[in-house]
Amino acid sequence: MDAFKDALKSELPDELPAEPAQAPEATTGTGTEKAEIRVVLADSQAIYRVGIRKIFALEDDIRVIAQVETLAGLHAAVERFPTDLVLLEGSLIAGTTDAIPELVRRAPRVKIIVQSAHTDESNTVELYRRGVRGIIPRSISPDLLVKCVRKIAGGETWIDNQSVNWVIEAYRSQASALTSPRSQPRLSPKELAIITCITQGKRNKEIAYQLGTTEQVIKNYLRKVYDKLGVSDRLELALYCLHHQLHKKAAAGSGSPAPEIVAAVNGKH
Amino acid sequence: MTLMNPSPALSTTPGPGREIELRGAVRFPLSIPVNLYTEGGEVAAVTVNISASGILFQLPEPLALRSPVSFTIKMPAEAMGTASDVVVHCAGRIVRSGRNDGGAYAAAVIDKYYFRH
Repeated sequence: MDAFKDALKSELPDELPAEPAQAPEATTGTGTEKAEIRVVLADSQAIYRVGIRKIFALEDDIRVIAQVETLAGLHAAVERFPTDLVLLEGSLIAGTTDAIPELVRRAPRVKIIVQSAHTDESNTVELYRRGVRGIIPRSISPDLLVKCVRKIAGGETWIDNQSVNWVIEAYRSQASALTSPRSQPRLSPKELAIITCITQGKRNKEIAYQLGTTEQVIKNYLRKVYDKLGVSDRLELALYCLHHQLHKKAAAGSGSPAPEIVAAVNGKH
Repeated sequence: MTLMNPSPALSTTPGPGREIELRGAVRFPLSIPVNLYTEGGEVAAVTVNISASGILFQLPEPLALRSPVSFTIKMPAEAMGTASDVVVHCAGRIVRSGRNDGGAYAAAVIDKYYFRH
């Protein structure tokens, strides 16, 4: 610990540090140390990285294991070093839609805090929806930042009152739209056929081959179906179909899949 | 969860009864019998609601928190428009469990899943 704090006094390189990754050191029993929270700082502004590092250097249970200034650097860091928490500058992910899901995919156990200069309702809701554990302002005080890190590392979510209202309202709207029998969007025969293939567990490439089209076309259809139904992945799509008895209703109504599509879908079974 | 008042910048931790739980995925109220594979063996349960990220079961006895669990959700072919039942294998861990009027409940996070075909 002392050697590490000595190392912190000197300037660390902006990208991956020289220190090797270390195994988690949480122990139990008498004379034990508090488990350390291993943090990666992802911020394009050096002054923030240096400042936050100095704040955390005063805390025995928080350790900055890497600091990066790009998303690519962040990906490399979380894959290289066992990380508990990422403190991520909002502008690094501005204008992107997949940054958080991609980070979650690369490091599923890492908890993400986004530090943002400005927040708006749709951005806030989307960030929490995609897996962010806390959104804090750039102007946050050191004490509150440390508290936030500890709370989130402990498994909590950090959220202000305004964001709670936004998120709850978004959740209510989505739940109502997804579970209400009245608000079901109309699906084309091809969309229904693709949904059938997806819920059979087929991959996009397989579906494209069966339907005589390209993988990209299937991906486009899938994106459209997800947006239409308000679902986010294959499992949610299957649950939606089951809950709404989608195919039953489609068969009973005018939305029956075209015979040639049904044949294509079931051709290999 | 920690609620943080934006001004002044103080944080408060809600007490019992005030806890607000936010979940990213919508829950579908589906009642499906499942067999849970737990550390203590196989347990028969019924789903109360299912989302893409988690599932709530009704079962005879509570399960240990953070214990791993796997199960298979079978969705009837008739409802899914498929030639055979849609089967989804899921693996996750118990995040909540306790007793209720019907026996016990357990909530699990789904860490991974795959469709069997």
